[in-house]
Amino acid sequence: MKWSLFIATLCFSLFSHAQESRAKMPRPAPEKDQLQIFPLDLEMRYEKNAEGEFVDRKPLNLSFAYRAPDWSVLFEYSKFDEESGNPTSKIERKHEEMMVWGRWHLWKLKEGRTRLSVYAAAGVGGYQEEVTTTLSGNSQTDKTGYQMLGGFGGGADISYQMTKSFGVIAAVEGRGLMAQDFDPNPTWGAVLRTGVLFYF
Amino acid sequence: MKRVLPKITAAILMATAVTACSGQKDTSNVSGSVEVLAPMNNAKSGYSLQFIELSGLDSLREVSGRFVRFFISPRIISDRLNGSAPQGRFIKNTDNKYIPANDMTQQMVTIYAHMQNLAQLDEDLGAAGVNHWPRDIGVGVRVAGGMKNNAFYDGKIDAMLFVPYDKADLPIAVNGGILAHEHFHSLFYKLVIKSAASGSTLSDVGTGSIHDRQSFLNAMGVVDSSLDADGEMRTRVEIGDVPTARPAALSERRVKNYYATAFMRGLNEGLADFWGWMYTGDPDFIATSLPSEKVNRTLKYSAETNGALALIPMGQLRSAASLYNQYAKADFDKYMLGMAYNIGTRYARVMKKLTEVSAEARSVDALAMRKEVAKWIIKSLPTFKDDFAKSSADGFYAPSQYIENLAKAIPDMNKAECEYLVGVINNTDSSKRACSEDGNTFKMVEAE
Repeated sequence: MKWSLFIATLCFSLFSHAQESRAKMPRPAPEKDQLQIFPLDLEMRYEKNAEGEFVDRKPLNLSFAYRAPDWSVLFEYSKFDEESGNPTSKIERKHEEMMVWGRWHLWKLKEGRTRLSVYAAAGVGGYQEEVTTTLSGNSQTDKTGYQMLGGFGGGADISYQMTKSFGVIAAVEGRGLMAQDFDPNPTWGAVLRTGVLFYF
Repeated sequence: MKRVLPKITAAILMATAVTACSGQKDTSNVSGSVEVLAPMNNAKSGYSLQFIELSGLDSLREVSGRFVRFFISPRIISDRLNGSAPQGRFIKNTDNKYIPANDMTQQMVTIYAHMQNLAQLDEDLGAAGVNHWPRDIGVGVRVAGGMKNNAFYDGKIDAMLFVPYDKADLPIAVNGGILAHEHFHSLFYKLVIKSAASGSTLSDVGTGSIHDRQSFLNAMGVVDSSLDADGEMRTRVEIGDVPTARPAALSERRVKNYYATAFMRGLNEGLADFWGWMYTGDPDFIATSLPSEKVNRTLKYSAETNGALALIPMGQLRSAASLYNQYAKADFDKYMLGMAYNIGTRYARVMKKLTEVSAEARSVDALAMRKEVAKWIIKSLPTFKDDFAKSSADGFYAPSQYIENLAKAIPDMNKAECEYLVGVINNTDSSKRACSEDGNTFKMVEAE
């Protein structure tokens, strides 16, 4: 409850500033807002193993975003599993997280139906880890409960308007995710998003 | 742009602050005593997942503290283990207990828990101060040739080393019996081998352990003459299978050296096997991780194994040692290794049987009796060391002599214990012993 209020406050304050700046800037023609849906994202992040070497994780990543001309807000869900051990003694770790990202489109270009933008992003959210420990067929599952998570990143997106109200979009983003128990902290990664968008 | 950048900076700082102020504690900052989940064993139900308290931790993430200091993929530099500390990964569950999130972390916490128990056991058995704490332990040890599924204690660097385990059974690093077994090697090394006078037979037997140094040093280019290339503990070689090589003149000194080495390794291995059983109560603790070892290494005895009634006679071991000049060195070494394991298994079974005889005669709980016999063993080692050095200088130390050393370490030996031990000696060698009552206790004497 405490941090859902915090997220709401954060989003509200950031977006109200963005709207204020938009109001002050002269615009040739108003751009339509968009709903962007990214059903198949390709994410890769790098955790450290026991030897301190980087190992890649490839989370399942789903997201959708509301895009105004200068800013957007993106809601993201991702999860990945890690399994180690052998048939007698096995450990399965499940990591899932939900984040809301504020993105500021710092540079934009429009050429016909194609739009390009470069953005910076900051996000907050929560993550949960679940570990199932199995010994000789007997299992025990433990969870962390939701813990707080922050992130920052930058990327670029390109969209193509196919009809009056529909288009396709792709984006690539690099980012760092921060939480107390992340190793390394921040954990670095990248996401390639592909999806569709709807104009309002 | 100028107006946007401060907002971005502010947002990033806020996101950082959110995570920094979230009240979670980084595991690298967790120290002291914590409860962790680990596979632990008890004599009745075997291995199960239990929450255990690790104490004296300096860093939970490195699982280092008062009892253990871990090294991952270490090297040996100046007779010390060198390398970085492995980094554990944990989750903290809703009851504020820590759960290892991968197998390496689980192995680290389990080893720490057992070493903590073994430190207490050393104190209980009168061996406090023999070892220095924290113990150095290498995990994920990489050995040339990809050696796997093994653990060994190296006396020279005073460290326990674990190579990767790729079988489907209980990993060696979480096998409490094998950890206790390796821990015993450290006690034996310090009480018997390390303090041996330079130039004595004892100083020629290396670290006195079967699977200790050669293979690990092999990774650094030192010739491995004792272990299989695949790193399995060993394959017993029947002497009949060994191809004849180059007959040469027999050297009494070399026969004595082969004899002493095989005997010392055998005794060390046998008592270490007893230690594993004493700690876990499982007579097949090795087979829990290495099922192929079950037949040869079980501490269960039967009419077929004959293991609890006699040791390997001195004559048999001496004859075996005399064959060194007839076979290729590598094959002969392997054969003597098998002989050492045979010696060891016999000792382990005799110690187990003695424990059972004593528990019954003294009406003592089995666990308490196991610890009592372990105390006798610790007490017997300095006497054994002196006797061994003396006997080896003049001739050969007979395997049954250790039983006499042990008997002297039993302060209040009763009739059943004396008769059992005398039976073992008399079944092993031609020398005959008998029991004589001495007040309320019994002692061994020459048979009339």
